[in-house]
Amino acid sequence: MKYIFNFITNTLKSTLLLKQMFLKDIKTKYIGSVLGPIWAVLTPFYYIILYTIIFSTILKVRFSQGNSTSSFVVYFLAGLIPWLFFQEGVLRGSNTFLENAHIIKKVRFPIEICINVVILSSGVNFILFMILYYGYLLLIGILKPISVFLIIVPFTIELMIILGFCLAFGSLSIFFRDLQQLLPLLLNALFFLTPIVYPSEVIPESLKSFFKINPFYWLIKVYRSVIIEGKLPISMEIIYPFLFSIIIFYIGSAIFYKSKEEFKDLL
Amino acid sequence: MSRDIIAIKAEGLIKEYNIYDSPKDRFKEIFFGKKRSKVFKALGPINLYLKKGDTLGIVGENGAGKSTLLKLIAGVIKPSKGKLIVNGKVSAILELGAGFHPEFTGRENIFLNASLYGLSESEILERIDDIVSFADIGNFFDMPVKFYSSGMYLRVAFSLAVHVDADIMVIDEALAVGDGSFVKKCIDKIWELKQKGVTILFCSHSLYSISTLCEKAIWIKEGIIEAEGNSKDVINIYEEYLRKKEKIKNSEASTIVTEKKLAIIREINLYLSDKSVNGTVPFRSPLHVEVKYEVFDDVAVQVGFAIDRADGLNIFADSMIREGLKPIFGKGSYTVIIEIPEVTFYEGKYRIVIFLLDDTGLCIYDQKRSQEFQIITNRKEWGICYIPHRWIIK
Repeated sequence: MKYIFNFITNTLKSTLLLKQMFLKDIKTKYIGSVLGPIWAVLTPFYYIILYTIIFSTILKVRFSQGNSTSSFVVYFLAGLIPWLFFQEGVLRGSNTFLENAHIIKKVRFPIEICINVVILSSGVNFILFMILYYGYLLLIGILKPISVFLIIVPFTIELMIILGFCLAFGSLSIFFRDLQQLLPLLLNALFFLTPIVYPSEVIPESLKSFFKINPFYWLIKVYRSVIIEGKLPISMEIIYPFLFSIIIFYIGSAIFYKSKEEFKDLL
Repeated sequence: MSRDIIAIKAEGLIKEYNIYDSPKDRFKEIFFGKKRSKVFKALGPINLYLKKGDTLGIVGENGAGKSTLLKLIAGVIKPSKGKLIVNGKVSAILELGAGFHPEFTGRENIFLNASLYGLSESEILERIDDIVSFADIGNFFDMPVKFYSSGMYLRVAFSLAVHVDADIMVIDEALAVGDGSFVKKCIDKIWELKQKGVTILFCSHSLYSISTLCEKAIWIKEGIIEAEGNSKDVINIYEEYLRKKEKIKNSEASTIVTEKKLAIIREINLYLSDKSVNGTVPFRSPLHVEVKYEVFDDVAVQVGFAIDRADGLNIFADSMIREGLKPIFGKGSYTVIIEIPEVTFYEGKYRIVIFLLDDTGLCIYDQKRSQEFQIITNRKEWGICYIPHRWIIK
């Protein structure tokens, strides 16, 4: 627990630095572009429309409740938004130390911040997106107000998973640069192995137990039940991803703190 | 000794890097345990002891390990072996504007970098005016730093570094790009910090500024301390070594060269009593050095001169203040004549180097070399110059 504790205290100690680095991150991202931060909204919209067309209209994927495209969108988004949060966070997080190498090598500061900036910026995207999504649910009249509070639970679990992966991959990818190439492929596979664009019912019975190893299988279920039904399941569905998140957060921070000084020499 | 006196203490400090022939070797070493790396020792073992308020100059050739030592002290990298105690907050200028983002304005970069140094928002707001006025770059402060000249970078970076209330300041070869008035300001500020008890580590190829600014110095050669002690002694030993390697071509190697000059030397004329020198100077003849210079700002200027042998050996150097004279103040054109009643150096080529210095002698506004002249003598003694002496036989 020492490592997790270290990570949390170092984060809390440098909130101003986090703010400054976050502002820098946003400004750098959109500098010189005409649309600027509008891209943060445009990109996910692109994914929604693309996936909806392919899976709902062309492949005619349907979730158990309802048969229309709008109910597909509701179901699908409850899985896609958390997934994009995870994907963006891990992809950027695994690269953040290399990206900030010029500062890390020259200035002494808590480098945990680099990870936190990434998490914060993908977290902000998640929240923005969630607001739009809730707006849509309100519009079609199926918003469960309680879910706005309940969603904090799966969000926190996912946050710890992302932190764990970022810390682990961020450190390891300095030693093994091949990870940078490998990671997008692994994430892509995980995306299709998680029932996001298809209902879990279509998974063949023989493969079900294999799919259930994936914590996202459960986490997405929790998200859906919170958002669509307004209920927080207290069962295996939430306990497994929760335990997984703690373990991965611990492993990630242990790898980070053990290799921190080593990888500074390699940057 | 008690804790509050020690600023930096290093015992057997070593920094090593593992070098792998290929990334595959690193992979194999981690997973199969067999050692496949070569160890490259960048620094050490180093033993160093600095008290609070000490000023240490660090000299050495490129790649000797100076920057590695400073990085260790700044805490950017960790020692591989040995003990290093650093007491207090370190502010380091390891590279010009290291944490600066090119798209940010000077002000935004100050906020970003000050928070990297661990300052709180209110502390930054408290200091921002001082930082702005010290940097003194006008409207540029609110423009992206990518439009800055390297001198402006230095101004902002240095201005921040001296305003973070550090106990230890590490300066790695940064002042070289400043213009005359700013270098003067920096040196005054460093001096002020030094009086306040800030420990200063100053690494520079400008041997002159090290010998004037620092009390102690170390010479690092191939990772270990080759010489340490009083800065003037260390600089002498180091210069001697460089001369042997024929690295110092002239005294110019040991000065801060400034971009925008506050004063410039127009002419240096050499006279033998009344006729001008034409390549040769007879032994024991009088030599007059006429210096014409111009000052563009209201600053105090004193003239210094050095006599160097063609191979770079400094025979003698002096300046007005060291002789008890007052510097000359204000704009205008001036002529100063240095009279040497008797030239007593032996056969060889020599030249005079003239310096325009500020009142502390720390900052050089301008410098210029005279023509080289040959001394002709058929004397039989040994040495560099004639020393007046008497024989008494009892």
